[in-house]
Amino acid sequence: MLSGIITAFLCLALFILAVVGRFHSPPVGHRLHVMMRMWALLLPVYAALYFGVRAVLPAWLGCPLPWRSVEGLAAFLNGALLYALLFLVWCYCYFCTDHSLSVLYMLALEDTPSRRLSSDDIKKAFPYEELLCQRLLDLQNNGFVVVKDDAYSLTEKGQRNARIAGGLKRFLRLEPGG
Amino acid sequence: MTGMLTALGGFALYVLTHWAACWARSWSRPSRLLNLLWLAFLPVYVAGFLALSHTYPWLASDLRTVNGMINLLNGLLIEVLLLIGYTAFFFLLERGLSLRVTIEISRAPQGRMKLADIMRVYTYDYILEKRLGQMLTMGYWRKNGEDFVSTAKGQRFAAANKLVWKILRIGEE
Repeated sequence: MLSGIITAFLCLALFILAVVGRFHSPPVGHRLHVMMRMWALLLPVYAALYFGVRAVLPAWLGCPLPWRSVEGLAAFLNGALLYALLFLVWCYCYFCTDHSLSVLYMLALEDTPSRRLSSDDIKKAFPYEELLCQRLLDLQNNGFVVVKDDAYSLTEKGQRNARIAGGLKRFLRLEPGG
Repeated sequence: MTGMLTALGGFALYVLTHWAACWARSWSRPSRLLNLLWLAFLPVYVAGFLALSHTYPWLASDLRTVNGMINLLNGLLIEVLLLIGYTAFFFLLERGLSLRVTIEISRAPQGRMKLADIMRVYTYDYILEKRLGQMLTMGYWRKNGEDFVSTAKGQRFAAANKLVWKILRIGEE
């Protein structure tokens, strides 16, 4: 079991190094797609590293080979699951930093000479129209929205997304939210 | 394997409980409910682990051994990671700006909206009130007259984010 856990963290470390390296070689393109590709490319590395780590660990900490018993297979898959979950948590942290308005406001406050901001200052520094246009452009680039005659409408993908998320928001009493 | 199965089962139970609590009433501070349930489910995880371990011989795990403890902690790690993932999903649903925009467009007459229409139904004041209120509640900022100033906690958080922006070159393209 331990070999899977150690390998998952090793792969996460490799993944982070690869992402940092890639993001320092522009143009990067769609960042989520880049990260997903990197994660998938490291899956065979996980498999190879798993057997390496398993060989290094003392026998009393080891487990059977994946093809020898269910326990061995479960230990291998457990590590892969951990690697997948660590990737999800990484994405959460990344998008909190990259997309969060609160983080944007906090960084802006720290950059002001007086280190203080009023609501009006925030509105001036980040005009709503500009902010919304940027988000709509993201939605357009990701195939959720199309523009026709200056009006935005949803694509099929956008409608499906709005239907599922809207239904869930209503069920969980999170409306209007945002 | 006991830890992994307990974590997956415990997480499913956690999501159902959280959905039931949200469905039953509207929570003014959803993050508090999430955190409370998080804490409540830690003993549930340990109890579930022990129950599975004692009920099924093929899942038996001796906590007096190193392997038994690794099994328990592995499940706990999976459970925590699943809960973080669920929190991310929940806040995307609750707070997501782009999601709210798509829902507003989907509910508009003829399913079309101009920028001005979106700005009217989803106002900047509403967005700011939520974000700034949250930063005050979480102790990142405090009010000084009409202005906001950051606390020591807020300064640390901002510095950490600035470092991440620099390392990952966020906002540079």
